[in-house]
Amino acid sequence: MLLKILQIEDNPDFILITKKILKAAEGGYQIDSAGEMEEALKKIEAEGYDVILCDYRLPKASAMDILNRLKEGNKDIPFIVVTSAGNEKIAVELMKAGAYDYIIKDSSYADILPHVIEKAIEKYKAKKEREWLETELVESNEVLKKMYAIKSDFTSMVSHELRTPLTAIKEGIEIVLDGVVGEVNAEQKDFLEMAKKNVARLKRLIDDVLDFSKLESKKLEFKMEGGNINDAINETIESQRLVAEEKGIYLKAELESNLPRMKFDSDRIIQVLTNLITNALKFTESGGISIISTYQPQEQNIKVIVRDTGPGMKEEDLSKLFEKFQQLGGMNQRKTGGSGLGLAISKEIVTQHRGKIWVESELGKGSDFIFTIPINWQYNILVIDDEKVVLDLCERVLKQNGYTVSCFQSGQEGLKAAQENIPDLIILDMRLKDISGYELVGCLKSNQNTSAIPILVMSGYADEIERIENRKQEWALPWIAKPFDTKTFLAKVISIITYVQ
Amino acid sequence: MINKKCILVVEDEPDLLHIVVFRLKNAGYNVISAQDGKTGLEMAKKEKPCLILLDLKLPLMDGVEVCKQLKADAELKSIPVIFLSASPGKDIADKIKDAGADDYMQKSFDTKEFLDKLTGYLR
Repeated sequence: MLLKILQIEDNPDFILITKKILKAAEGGYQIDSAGEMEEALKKIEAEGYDVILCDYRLPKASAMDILNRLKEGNKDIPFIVVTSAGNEKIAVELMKAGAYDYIIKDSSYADILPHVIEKAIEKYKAKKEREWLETELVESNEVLKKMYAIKSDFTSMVSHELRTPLTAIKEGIEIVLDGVVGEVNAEQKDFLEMAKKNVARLKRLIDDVLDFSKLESKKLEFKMEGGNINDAINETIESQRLVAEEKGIYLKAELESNLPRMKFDSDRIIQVLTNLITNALKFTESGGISIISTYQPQEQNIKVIVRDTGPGMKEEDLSKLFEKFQQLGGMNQRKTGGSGLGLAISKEIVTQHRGKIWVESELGKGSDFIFTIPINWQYNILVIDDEKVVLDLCERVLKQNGYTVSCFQSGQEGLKAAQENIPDLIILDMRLKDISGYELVGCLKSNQNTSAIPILVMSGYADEIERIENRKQEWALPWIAKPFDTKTFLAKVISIITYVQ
Repeated sequence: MINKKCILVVEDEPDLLHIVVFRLKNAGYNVISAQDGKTGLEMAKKEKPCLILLDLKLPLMDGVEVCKQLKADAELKSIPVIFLSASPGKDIADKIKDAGADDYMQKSFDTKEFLDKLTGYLR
């Protein structure tokens, strides 16, 4: 491929030298020349060159002038500056302004020139490719955003379009079944009941699909509130009790008492538990189902097991269970009437709680569906201490352990922040510069928005601790003496935030 | 003078309208209906029903706007307005608050629950 080079040079001898060098070198070069700026620019406009070799100083203009004119015209052509020894500074400046390289008019010129040109071409190619990739990336990003918007509008549109006819069908059947438009005989009743049952099934399917769609696109907002997961478990068991009784199998809870408090979306976790329990109920014919909850202090999480004495599953079938549209019962091909999305939805919910869900099962021995949820995420801790060193230490330790932390050196600012964004715990030093610790606690306790926030008091003075002990009767504030080691500090924080004694 | 035992239903889906009207008449109420927001508002002004069931998505004027206008009218603001919603929604609560409606009901309603709720508002 012929490389077109424009040499902007006013010394005709040097032009000849350059031509000779490139003629002898490998690769095909076509060299044109121009003696001054305007002539060069006209040629560039007319011909289109692959490389420009420009002397750093011409009679009426400098290389910088030419480079700037090219930039103004949005012309990006590999620009190589030719300088003389001792003028490297100019070359560097030109590089900063956009020149691709420079070459010195000395004894090395003949050897280096072809390489410099080659390098400049490569640099240009790489630059163009990068620019192209960036445009591609931006474009595909735009397409994705549009598709995403379409999908979520689609979801809500589908929701409405699907539910409307379904309602009409259901109500139509019910009106006839109610006998208000004429008597219904037994046979008619049977078929109508069958139709009604299938409408309910269809509705559940639609709910599942829409639910999953919203979950997957993270459009569902979770209402994370502190509570005891045992309450959610008990509630779910109550709602499933009858089904178990009818089948003659047990449904019992083995819940650890005094489970630490944790932040979770109760409705959604009940949805997960319902899904796991109804699955277990479907496949268990004898024996029963146990729900077990435990606190794992090492892993800082709560573990829930839904254990059934059903048929169990083969090792190979386990891994695909939580994927979309997987029907349980695999080889049996028993149509269980589910949407195949229940476990996928459960997995999505657990994952958004930063938890994990999995199954352990052995053929003939039953199955354990297990999920864990960490207890210390989603907690916001506010720390107030006028000593930056202490503040930084607290922040580092807490953040490392998954808490969200906001720090304040000013008691007033900390107080204001606490009133605006109710934190889950306030850690404060009793000796602050702008407001006394007592006053601060008093303000927090007298404001009904902040009065329930647990407070951990830090104090480095022995008498301060005594006073806290005395005031403890009134406020019962937990405290920690400074300097403290991080292990003790963390243990105290965890015990307060999760009510674990 | 508010028309006793006369319910206005504003719903654009003809089949759903048919079902609701049927259920209400069967329960002994007098029922009038409209299939778009503008007509619904006009009928409310003319007939002064004792309760209004209002679909959210309506042609010509949507449910929220109709409700706002009803609640801004001195003569009509005391009439209970219940939104009919196609999907179970937690965002419906905002719409109710925004428009000043009194309650909402899901369109795939349980008839008994539906009628009980109405008697509650019509006492």
